[in-house]
Amino acid sequence: MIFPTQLKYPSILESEPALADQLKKILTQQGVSEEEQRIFLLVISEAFTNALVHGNRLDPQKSITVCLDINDQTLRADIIDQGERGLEKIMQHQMTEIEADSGRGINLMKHYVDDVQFEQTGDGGLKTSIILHRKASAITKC
Amino acid sequence: MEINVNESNGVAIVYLKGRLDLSSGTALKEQIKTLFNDEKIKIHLNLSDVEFINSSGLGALVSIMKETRLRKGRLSLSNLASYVQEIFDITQLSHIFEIFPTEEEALSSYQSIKIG
Repeated sequence: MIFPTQLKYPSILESEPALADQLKKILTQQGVSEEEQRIFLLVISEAFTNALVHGNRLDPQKSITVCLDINDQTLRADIIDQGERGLEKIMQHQMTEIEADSGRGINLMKHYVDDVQFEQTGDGGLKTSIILHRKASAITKC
Repeated sequence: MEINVNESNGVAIVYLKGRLDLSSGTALKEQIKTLFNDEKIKIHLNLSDVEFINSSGLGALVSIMKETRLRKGRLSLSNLASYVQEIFDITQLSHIFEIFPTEEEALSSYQSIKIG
């Protein structure tokens, strides 16, 4: 597989597990350790769910693009939605009350990855970029 | 996600298998609602076969906990894999849920506490 590679999904609930299945296959194929897979899949899931619900508001006419780049040093994913005022919504995000039903995703992303950045796209959508630096010992060599 | 329900001494035991995310979290809330409709308010969730959980799955559990509390019932969890426990710890949810290492320990605690 040649990186970066691009995956595209409609904004429906079924897309999240479908993305997870596809990513798991790619990461396993690339020799990414189980621990790194677990973290990377979790943070991508958080960004993807955010794009699905808050960005594209589950509009099946809108899609979510996931750009994936894997090398020996880093795992990177850009999750791009077609929503409106995405960056504004992210900037308004505050620490969640402990018993809130939602709002923990951004905190989980920030906890697990080395770098997470939010950027507004030209058409008002949100691009979430996730970078995870790989541990040398976790890289499986063939 | 697979959801199976069993009952022991008035406690509904719910076994979850697979991913607990946005879609399955909604399905779980629906399943628990049917238990509430049957006046079952002592609920135990066995998470031993949960292979993935994200913030949407956590949100579903919090929502179930609050609904159980409103109905003056009780919700407990058990058999969390280490990575699931870690996510509960990071989000501080381990402070608000009753979490037991095993289902047996959780169920025996229901025998010593009377609700209502």
